[in-house]
Amino acid sequence: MSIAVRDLVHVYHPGTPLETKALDGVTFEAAKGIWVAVVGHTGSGKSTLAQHLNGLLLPSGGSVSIDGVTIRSGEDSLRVVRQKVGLVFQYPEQQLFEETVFQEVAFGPKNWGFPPDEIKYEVEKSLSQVGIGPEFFGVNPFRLSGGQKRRVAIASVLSSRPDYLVLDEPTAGLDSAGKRQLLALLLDLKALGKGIVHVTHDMDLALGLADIVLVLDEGKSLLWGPPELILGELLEHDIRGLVIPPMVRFAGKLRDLGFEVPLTWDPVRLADAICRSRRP
Amino acid sequence: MTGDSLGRFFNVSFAYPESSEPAIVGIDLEIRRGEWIAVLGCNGSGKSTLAKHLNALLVPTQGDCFVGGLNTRSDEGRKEARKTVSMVFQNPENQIIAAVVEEDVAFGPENLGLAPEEIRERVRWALEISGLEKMSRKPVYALSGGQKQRLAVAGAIAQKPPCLVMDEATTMLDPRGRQDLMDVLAALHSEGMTLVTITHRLEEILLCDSCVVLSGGKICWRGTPVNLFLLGPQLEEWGLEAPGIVREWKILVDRGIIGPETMPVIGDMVEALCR
Ligand SMILES: Nc1ncnc2c1ncn2[C@@H]1O[C@H](COP(=O)(O)OP(=O)(O)O)[C@@H](O)[C@H]1O
Ligand SMILES: Nc1ncnc2c1ncn2[C@@H]1O[C@H](COP(=O)(O)OP(=O)(O)O)[C@@H](O)[C@H]1O
Ligand SMILES: [Mg+2]
Ligand SMILES: [Mg+2]
Repeated sequence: MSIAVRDLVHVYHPGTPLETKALDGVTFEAAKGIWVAVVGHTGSGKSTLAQHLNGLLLPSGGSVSIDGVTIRSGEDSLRVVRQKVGLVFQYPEQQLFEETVFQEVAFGPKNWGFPPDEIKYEVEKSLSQVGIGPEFFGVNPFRLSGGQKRRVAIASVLSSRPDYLVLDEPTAGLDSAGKRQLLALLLDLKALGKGIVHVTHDMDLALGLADIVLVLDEGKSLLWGPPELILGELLEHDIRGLVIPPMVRFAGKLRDLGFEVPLTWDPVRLADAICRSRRP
Repeated sequence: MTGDSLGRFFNVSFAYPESSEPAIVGIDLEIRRGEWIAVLGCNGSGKSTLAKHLNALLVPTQGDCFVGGLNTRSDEGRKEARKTVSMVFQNPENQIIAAVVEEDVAFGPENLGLAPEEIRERVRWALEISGLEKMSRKPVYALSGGQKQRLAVAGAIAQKPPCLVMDEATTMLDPRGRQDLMDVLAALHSEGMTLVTITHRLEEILLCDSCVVLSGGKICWRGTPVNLFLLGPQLEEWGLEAPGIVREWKILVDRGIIGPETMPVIGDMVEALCR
């Protein structure tokens, strides 16, 4: 049971002077209960990829299948897929359109034909999961702060009971408190068995939270593996648009100088190692 | 390299018309010419409201704000403020005007009534600095979010303003783009441009001369970046996030392994450990 992407190609405006190959052979898999981080330079195709995972865009080549169902245009499969995979956009403004927070979050389950009492239950549950209280139910989503909008956008996806959540730069623009809350929520959802696909350009987050990291470069899947493996590759090769967290470079530098320290993104672990291994 | 006052806040408070609570309260602040100042604080603490006073997008409900020595309440003051201060905001969608990249960058200089060669030169310079020179003829809608953000920066600096305000303008950039932009800002700073950086990311304030932290619309802390980093857990209460290297630096300083005079950058920290 997973999202399986095989040799995915996406071309914008094919056959026109504006033709752009945004994805050029991407292969990876995202399973339930697993956190996959997708990283890559600006323009590497992350947002394009995200929109393929719930059939908002359709492949120019290759395939995307959800729990064994391949996404194709104009079929019932598209309906199933859209409910199974919830997509939270890069800018929440692109997603919010109803007049009240309640209606916004009710839109999905209504659309999928949930019975009325179930709709109410899912809406209240989803909003409480993201920490939006009943006092906001009647508020126009556009009046909310950036962090609140983002949380409502997530609730409006959760209310359809998706198995997978695809989030495009969900922490951008949040302050550190907002970010911590959001990441804690995603960890909870993962623990509940949801598959998380987290598009981010924050390497600290990707290395610290993901089970598996996918590195995109110019529309191609360049690296795919657990954070430790990606870290080794990153230190060896200069990958466009990706910056190795300075702390990891610091650790690398100390190792070059003979300190016995691990390559880590955990400051306490590194400090402990430095204390133990003063200069050899 | 700091000189006379570019902007000066005297006990400035501001409340939005429809709200009962003021967004900023009793702000006293001087921004000197050539200074690079960081304005920090959690979402809703009043950073954008403060910044919008600098180019007279907002005028104080109470107190006074001066830009270039003129009160922004007066017509001349407002004009001076608009000429002096360019802003780049968090959401690039709201600040791009034209349909093609180079036309958008030319918009500001054209409005200044510059000669065509000067406009071309400025557009070239701004696009090069922002790393968009290869995209000059691209339609704006075909840019990704990060590319749009860089376009917004190019548009603002093409006017060569004495002061540039970056209101969380790096939010949508990838780390390399962010680093490139920091290099741009450093270059603009060394040319004497006054810079105001609004951000949650402490790695962006390393080169600043000073910082102020806002909480509930009030200035609750002022000082240098290094003194700010030393505050540790207090930072989180203000919605600030220390990057790994700064947290590492703080732990090593607290344990007495390196001195607080060491800067939280890789080179200085390695040198201190090898001493
Ligand atoms: N609607 C669109 N029309 C044409 N080109 C696009 C469109 N959206 C994105 N692109 C192009 O596709 C490439 C990938 O963009 P995107 O998926 O947004 O990347 P990322 O999210 O990694 O920044 C970029 O070159 C971008 O300019
Ligand atoms: N246009 C507006 N109308 C009413 N209230 C606003 C408006 N813009 C901001 N506020 C309020 O003013 C306060 C400060 O907001 P802002 O200056 O945007 O903070 P920051 O930039 O630090 O996130 C917040 O409580 C916010 O809700
Ligand atoms: Mg994107
Ligand atoms: Mg703001």
